[in-house]
Amino acid sequence: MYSASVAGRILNEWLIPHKRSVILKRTQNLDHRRKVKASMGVIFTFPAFLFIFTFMIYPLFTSFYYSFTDYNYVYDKKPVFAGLKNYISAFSDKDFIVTMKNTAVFASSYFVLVMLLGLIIALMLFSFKKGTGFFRTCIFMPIVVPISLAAILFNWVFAENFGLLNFIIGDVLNLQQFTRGWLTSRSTAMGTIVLVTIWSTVGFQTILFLAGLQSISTDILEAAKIDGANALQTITRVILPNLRETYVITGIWAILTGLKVFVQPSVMTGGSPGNATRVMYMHIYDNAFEYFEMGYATALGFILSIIILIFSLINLRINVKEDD
Amino acid sequence: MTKKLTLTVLLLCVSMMLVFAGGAQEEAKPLGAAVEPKVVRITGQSWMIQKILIEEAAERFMKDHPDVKVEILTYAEDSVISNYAIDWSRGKTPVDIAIVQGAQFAAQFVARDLIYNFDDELDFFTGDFTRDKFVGVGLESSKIQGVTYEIPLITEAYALVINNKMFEEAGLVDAKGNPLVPKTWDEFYQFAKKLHKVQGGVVVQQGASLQWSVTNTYAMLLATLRGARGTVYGDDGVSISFDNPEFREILRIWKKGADEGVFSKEMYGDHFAGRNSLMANKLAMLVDSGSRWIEGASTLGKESVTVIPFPGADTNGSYGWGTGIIIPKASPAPNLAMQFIKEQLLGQEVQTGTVNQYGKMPALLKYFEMAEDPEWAVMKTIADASGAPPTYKEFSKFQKATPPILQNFLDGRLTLDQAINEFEALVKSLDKSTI
Repeated sequence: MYSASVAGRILNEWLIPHKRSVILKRTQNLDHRRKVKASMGVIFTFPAFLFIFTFMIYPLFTSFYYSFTDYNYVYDKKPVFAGLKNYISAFSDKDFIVTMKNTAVFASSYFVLVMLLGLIIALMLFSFKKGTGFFRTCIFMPIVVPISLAAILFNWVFAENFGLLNFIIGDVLNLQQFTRGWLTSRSTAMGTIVLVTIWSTVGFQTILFLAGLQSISTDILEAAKIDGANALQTITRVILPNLRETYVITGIWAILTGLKVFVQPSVMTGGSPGNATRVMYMHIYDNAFEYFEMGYATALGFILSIIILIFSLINLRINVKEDD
Repeated sequence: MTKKLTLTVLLLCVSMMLVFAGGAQEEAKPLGAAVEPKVVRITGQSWMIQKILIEEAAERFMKDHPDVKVEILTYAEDSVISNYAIDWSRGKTPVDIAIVQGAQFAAQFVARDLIYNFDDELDFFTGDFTRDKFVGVGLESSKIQGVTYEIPLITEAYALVINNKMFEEAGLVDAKGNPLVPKTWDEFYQFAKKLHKVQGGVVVQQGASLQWSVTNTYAMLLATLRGARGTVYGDDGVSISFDNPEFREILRIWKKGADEGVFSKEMYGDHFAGRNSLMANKLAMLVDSGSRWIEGASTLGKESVTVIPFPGADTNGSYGWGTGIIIPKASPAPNLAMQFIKEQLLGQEVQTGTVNQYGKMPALLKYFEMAEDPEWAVMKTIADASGAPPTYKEFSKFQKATPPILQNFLDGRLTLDQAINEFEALVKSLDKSTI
């Protein structure tokens, strides 16, 4: 009884408070550690945050503000707020409308071709396991060539009087009726630029599709085989539906590449013949850096961004289902 | 604690942004520093550095003045120099000398009082460098409202570069074997027709290529107008005028030649295409910068290529321009920069070297005598009669908007009247003030 009461006293008077204080201390330590951890987190993310803030967020908001101003950065001392004037002017700017149409033609034909070709080449590389190393290298090689350099090289290939292609068609193959000014004729200029862009980028698209194909479980493919599916059925009913996630990435990438086209027409045709290959980014660039109209140019840039966003969302909507 | 820290980080970000973004603008300094540093920094595009022999000039200058250092920077394209204006307006500069193409480009800096004028501010035109010693068109293209803001280093003018052998084969030579010079654009077309060769549907020898490119159509138009009428301006003396019988006739001939394939459209998107065809021995006549002849000669041999005036260029002149230097007021060493320009850039080695090696005409008249080839006498005649481009504030819009109009006309998308009206409307829409 005595010992029980002593034990109880010890427990009540010494052990429990001691334990409480230990627990309290530990909790305080934990809190402190958590706070230190949180602080460290903030400190470590600071450089990245600063970078993003300086080079992305700040310019984004500043340029958004500029898009509502009249601002020629060479002649004007500071931007003057102009409301929606630049956005309204854009849709009455004949040249901008023409470049929108040209960009739409380029982007739509590029999108269809690069998606189809990328997928077909990836399927071929995926199906034929042996001896594909050489072909893989050939297809991926153009990725390492800068697009500007490729455009200059292809200028020489497609030149009317001294070009390699006309030489091969006319002098080697003796098919003179098919020689032409590939980049100076309205019927072929845009198509030629699309082809060069496909050449330059299809390898990357193929890599993405190939990665998607390799992520499909072999069990599914084997199950299809056991169920008696032939090659075409395996592709159309098993492989293609399972590539939905890949379509999201490849689709967005193709939309971006298509709508953001700038280097190829700038180098290969400069927008000629007439305005037939002049695209939106060329018009934006000229307004910004040739005419120094930064206010108007940023408004055009935001219009292009909105168009890209809309198409990217459509792509997401089509390819991502709720259960994903 | 975390909130406080986040707030501190945000504040830090904003303050750093302010540091990056601006700060108070400093006034430009008066004529350099009290004691000028012994460094001259010069910038130009890579072709300028190469063809104006800047590296060689820098080495010689440093050898002559061992305590001085010359630094050379290359810039990729014109907008880089435009962006220097931000530094210059704060009284800072990464360069003391910038090589640019004509006062029309320098106008943007003049508008904000960022570059020196060489007349009363730097008093450049003294001793061996008085105005009468410069090639007229080079100096003219360096002025804005009569004030010189650029010192020309090289001059160029549009001319007709021809393949001598093709002229001989076509019988287009006089009794002495010299190539005939077309006096009218119709004659030019007749020459091209004779020179144009097609075999089995393939053009094996192109009659003529004209500078109808997206980058240089404006120059071709100004050269042609000047050659045809002696001026590019209308009655007001300010607006470029296209609506005149001479230019209408020229456009008709160009269209006829283009429709028949006698005049090539190869330069639409590639302003080098004509030069490349010339060098590939596939082109008989090229209307372009006269300096192209030496590039053709370097490949085909000097006996095969020469330069002559295009119709009217010998009497009325052509389009001429200078490539020269500007000095920002932010430069701490404008006097040293001027010394470098006078001793080296306008010195004999650079001026004769650039003409003999690269076909860029000298800025000073005396060096024409030291040019090796007789063609330079022809080019001097053309350059003497030539005119510089207007220094409109919105000249770049003129440069950008003229090629589509001309190409649409040549491709049959615009009638002659529509094309003339579009040219006229374009000129009317431009801000033609200078600064």
